Amino acid sequence: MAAENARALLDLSSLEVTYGPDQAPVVQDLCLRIERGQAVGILGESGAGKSTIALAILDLLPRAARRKGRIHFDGLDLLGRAESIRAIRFRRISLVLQDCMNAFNPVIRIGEQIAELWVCHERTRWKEALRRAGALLERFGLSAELTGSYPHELSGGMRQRVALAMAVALSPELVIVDEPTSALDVVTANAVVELLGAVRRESGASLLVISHDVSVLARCCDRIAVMGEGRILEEGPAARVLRQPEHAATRSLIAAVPRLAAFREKP
Amino acid sequence: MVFRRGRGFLTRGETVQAVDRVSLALGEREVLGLVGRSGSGKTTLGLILCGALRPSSGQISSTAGRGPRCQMIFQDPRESLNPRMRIREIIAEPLVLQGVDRRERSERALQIAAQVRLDPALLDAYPHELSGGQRQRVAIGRAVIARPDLIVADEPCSMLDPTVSAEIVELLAELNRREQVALVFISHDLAQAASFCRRIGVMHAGKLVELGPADSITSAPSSEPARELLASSRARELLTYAG
Repeated sequence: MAAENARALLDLSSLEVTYGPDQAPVVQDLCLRIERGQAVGILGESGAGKSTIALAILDLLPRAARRKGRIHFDGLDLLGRAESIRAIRFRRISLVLQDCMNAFNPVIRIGEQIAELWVCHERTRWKEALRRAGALLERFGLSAELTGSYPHELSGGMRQRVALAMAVALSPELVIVDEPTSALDVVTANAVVELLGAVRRESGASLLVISHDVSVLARCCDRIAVMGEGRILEEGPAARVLRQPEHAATRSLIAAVPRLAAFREKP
Repeated sequence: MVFRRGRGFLTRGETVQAVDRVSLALGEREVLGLVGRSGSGKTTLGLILCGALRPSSGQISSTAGRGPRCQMIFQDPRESLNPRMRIREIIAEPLVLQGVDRRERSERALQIAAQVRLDPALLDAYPHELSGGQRQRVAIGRAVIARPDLIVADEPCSMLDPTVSAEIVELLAELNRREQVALVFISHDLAQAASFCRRIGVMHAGKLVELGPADSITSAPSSEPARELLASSRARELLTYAG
């Protein structure tokens, strides 16, 4: 048992999160394992507690919130040692937030925002870091000239690409992505999903993808955990969960995916 | 439709052709899907159909002799509902223009709430007290109460959870059947439009690049933008799995 746990990259067990002393738990009795190189999706409606898990892993919850249970990352106990998270956050576990417009500083050029990661975490010189920023953008299908742009000059899809590029800049072992496609049109969303696959193949990082969109998780995850009211309702290989759902909540999420002629009257 | 953008004190700005030589005929009680990527001109065309924008050139005519009576449902019901009005007043507001008295307005609002399956207890609430799906039901109620000839729904589901989106699509399809109102459903998701629109128009860079039966567009799209939309669509029949 202990040996098996040591192998998992991320191991959450009996996790419970409350946002205040007298409040009902937002996440409860939650167990989830992510192995190295694996892509795991968390599927659920708004308010199911999906984003709270991401924030709980990285200790980014509001001060009044309380976490109980166990969060182990590569054998490190992230709940027990509050200091250690600073060495792990973004360097070993990165996070792409849902609304990536708000994740950028509006008055700093894109290149400097990316370069800052290497300057702060690896003491790289600015000139070298800026050069690497351009090269990184090119790897993500963007022009290196974007380093000179401000965030508002980019489209939603470009911003999501930059956010993903920043998330892998420090070669983390786990990348957490919260609703990567909810603000994008379907074609751009599809490109971002393909990019997630490329990120994984290229960097070997594990992925934790949070979404309410069945088709997004189907396309990029090995396993899917379905959440409702703070709990995991079912978990398993993506194709099994989506083809033979065991829980009513999973069935209703799948039923919500449009069929091509569901409500059309026959002519 | 030509817009001028970036005009300031020092710049003359450039013009954008948001909708370019579109010809479209809409039948009575028809449900037309209008699909395309962000920026393809769907919303601008919707606003023109509604009479909310006057086209730079071209015209709209209706067999009704007058212009068609139109209502619009917007993407974000949080921004389209007046936060200081009660739900009852919001739903019945179009009737004020028709000179309907307060008591009858209140009765009609109650009937409409039942039609859009909104809990009548919410009629005395304010918009911020409602969920996204409930707010969109209010917007739909406000659109149907005036018995319009045409409703233009502009991405009515894109801010909603998947199961709530499906309920809203079902409600729109039902209203179209029962209320005998034509519907233009604007979406970037071809599958969602094809789930209940019999005819679909595909927009790209301001042009209507394809217009035809939903079945032929989803089985054999003839334009590149339509093929791209189909390949990215979230239809259940097209679910693919990693690995």
